[in-house]
Amino acid sequence: MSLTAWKGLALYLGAFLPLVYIAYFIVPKRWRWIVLLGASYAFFWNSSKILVVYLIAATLVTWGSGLLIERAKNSIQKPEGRKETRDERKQRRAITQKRMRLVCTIGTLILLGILVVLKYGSFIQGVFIELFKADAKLPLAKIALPLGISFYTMSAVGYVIDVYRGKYAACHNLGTIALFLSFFPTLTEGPIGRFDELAPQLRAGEIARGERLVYGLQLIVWGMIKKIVIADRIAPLVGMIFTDHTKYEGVMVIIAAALYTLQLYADFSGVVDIARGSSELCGITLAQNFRQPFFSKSVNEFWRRWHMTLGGWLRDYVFYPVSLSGATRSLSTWARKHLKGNAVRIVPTILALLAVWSATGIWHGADWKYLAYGLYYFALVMVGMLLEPLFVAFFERTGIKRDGLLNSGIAMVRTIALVIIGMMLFRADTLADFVQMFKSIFAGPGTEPLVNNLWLSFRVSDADLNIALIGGALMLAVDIAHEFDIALRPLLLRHGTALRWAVGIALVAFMLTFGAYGPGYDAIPSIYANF
Amino acid sequence: MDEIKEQVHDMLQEILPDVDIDNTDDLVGSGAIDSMTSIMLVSAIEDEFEVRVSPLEMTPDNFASVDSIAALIECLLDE
Repeated sequence: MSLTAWKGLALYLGAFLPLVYIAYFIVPKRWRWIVLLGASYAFFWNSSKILVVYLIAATLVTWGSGLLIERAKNSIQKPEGRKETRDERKQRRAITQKRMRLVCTIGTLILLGILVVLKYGSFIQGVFIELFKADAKLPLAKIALPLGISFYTMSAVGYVIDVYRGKYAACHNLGTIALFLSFFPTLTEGPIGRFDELAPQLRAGEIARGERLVYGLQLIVWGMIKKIVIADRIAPLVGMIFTDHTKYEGVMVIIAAALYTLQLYADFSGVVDIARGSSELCGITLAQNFRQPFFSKSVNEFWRRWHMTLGGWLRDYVFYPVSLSGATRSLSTWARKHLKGNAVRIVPTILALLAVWSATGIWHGADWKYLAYGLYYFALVMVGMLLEPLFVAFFERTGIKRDGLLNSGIAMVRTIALVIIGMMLFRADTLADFVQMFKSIFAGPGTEPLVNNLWLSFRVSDADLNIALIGGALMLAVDIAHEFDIALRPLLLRHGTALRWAVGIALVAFMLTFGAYGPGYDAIPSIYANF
Repeated sequence: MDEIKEQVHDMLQEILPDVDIDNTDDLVGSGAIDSMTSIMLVSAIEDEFEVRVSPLEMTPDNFASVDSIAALIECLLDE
């Protein structure tokens, strides 16, 4: 981590967060949310300065859309003095529903439009130039992105759609909407918030004391270990191989992809832990974003355990609406009448799955490789569905238990391998680079750098690797405990204060001693902050 | 209502042939019904009962058991 990045993190943990906590503690409960709002905007301003206008615009559109949907819902009154007939009720609902849908559509399009123009504008422009062989300078240069725009836009769109669906009433308080979208721990890398889960907590003004305070601090330390001990130590080696990928083949490419997978998991989950820990200090529990993803037995399961708030959002606001759309319903009815067996299951879901996986890919960035990343998982899911009858027949005939230890182990290894290939695509600079790297795996053994101990040429010492691997082993141990529902913190609590303090001090010492920061370490910004 | 439950049970058996419907307490929590199978089930429900399921009704509680699915259908029929 560069001196600048380290200063940023030190400033956040050493000054910003303690000041927020102290102010939160001092201020009367009913005004604490204003402390959070002020801190969030200060945090945003520090990173994005004048781009705060986009956050403000999104806030106003979100708040206004909710109110207008509510107004549309109540725009036609029931008849006075007599009972409304069934037909009158149906007609009233049809008209108000149409008005509500219009407001929801416009609000959503504005919110997504801002995101599309800022994040994808120059990419789309480039595609047009390529398609029409234009030579002109087009107006959209690569625009700086406001901090967290991909995250807060999704939270905003989710709110507008939820109000339209009647999940909860529109919020009349602009400050609450502003805080919901800008809450500082979630700006950098999420998790993506749901209004009904987060807003009441943001306004409650609860403060962490005792055990909850300790929990928050523990999460922050654990997140720091994952980020600066594991992720940032692996980053130089990964960067070196991916940058000069034409020099490597075979096992070196596999190692780079596998290490990148570990780096990304440690980086992303680490920053989310810091976010969750920071929130806990203010008595706010954020949604979980990871649930031991590398214990998954299929890619479907992996995406239910990895970046869970993104998956949940896409399920609720893309998958279900597309699945329940007229087009999919017609396709489903046709499939039930004209197809047999597995095809009846698969065909109706194609459209919705294509929408979800395309969105998954392009949400990550404006590049063909991200779309390819999403479509890679679409292909895997479709192949899995098509092969399902063969799997069922195989297990029936062989008598092997599908959920037995042997098959579960094989399934986990298979899933990890598929995920690592996906991560290689994700990390490669371009789609073409990924194709070259993938082919090079089979070009030769590529073991020379290992045999000749060329790690130092990657600016990675044996110590770096050992520390990263020890950190990785620690992370794996914690994940194993969680997978078997062993709650580690209560376990520590039961064994007395002395042990808890010893473990805490050991972890902090581990972080401070082995964190990759200071002179000699290059800038390693948080990976998902780029999205 | 019993007739609806019986029809729902048959639908689930067709969509989830490997699942012991009668002895699974929570069809969603156990992973028997996920987002894809829920869509297949919704499609079957809409065809059979001529109702319309909205995204708001796609909740784990509504699809947790034969009883809860039947209750949802009953509710939609009353609208």
